[in-house]
Amino acid sequence: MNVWTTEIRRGIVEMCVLSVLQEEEGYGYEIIERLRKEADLELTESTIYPLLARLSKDGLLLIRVAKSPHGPQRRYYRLTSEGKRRLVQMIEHWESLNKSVSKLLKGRSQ
Amino acid sequence: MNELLTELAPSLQRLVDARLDNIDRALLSTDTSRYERRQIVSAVEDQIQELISRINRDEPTREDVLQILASLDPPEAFGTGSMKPARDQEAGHQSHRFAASPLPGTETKISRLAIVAVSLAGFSIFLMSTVIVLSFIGLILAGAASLSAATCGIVSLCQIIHSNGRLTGKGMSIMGIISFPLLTLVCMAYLVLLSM
Repeated sequence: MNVWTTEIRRGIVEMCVLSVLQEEEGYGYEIIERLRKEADLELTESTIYPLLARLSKDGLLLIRVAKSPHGPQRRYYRLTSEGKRRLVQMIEHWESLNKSVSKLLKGRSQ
Repeated sequence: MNELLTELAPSLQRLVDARLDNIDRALLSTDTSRYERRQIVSAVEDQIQELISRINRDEPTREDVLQILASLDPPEAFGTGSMKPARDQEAGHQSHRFAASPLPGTETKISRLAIVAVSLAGFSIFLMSTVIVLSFIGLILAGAASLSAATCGIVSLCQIIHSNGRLTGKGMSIMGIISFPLLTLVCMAYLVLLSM
């Protein structure tokens, strides 16, 4: 059961990260905090940073390095047009899949 | 990466650098590209600095830095970890935790160094067993040989004494006779040394 849960969540994390950056850019630690606050997703840096690196490598995210008001530098991530397109596709697929599975499960339980 | 941590004392900076180096090494064990490794390590470094800047103290202490490092995922999590969900059951609140996961879609593989380690361990056990077995066999053979030598020595010495000078080799007979007590003494000394 744990393997199944892990596998199903793995693909969703990518969609969640892109979704968090849909409205505005964010830096690494802020993204982790936003996921926690907005979606109750406890994602740690060993999950998020490799994912952010891959998404930027794939051209879905742009990186901007800037100093924070407190001093240390921050690496801000924002969606590219390709990233926005990918997110729309993901959301469409997710909603369609969610609808179908929910319908099936609802039918079985009645 | 060092120039980014100018506000830290050298000893604290070394702690941070060591952690970042370990993460880089863990990532090297996967198929993560150099570009991604740099991005990941820099992102972790940014997070460490972010957490340090949030400490309400002019100079962060060693304990502060250690506490921050302890709150992060261990370096191995970047290389071979797995996404483990857990639920927070407090007050009916549910959250989804994912800890220590590799890149989504990344295939995990066994560390080559771990394979070398287990192979060497197996080889050393094999060698040790061989030495134990051979030394046991060697001890029995040596005991039997020296006992035979002592017997032959005694018999030959008697023959030499009663030969009225026709037979020689008294020295060799004596050597054969003393080989058994000599070997016994050496064995005892060896056992005493082993037990120390």
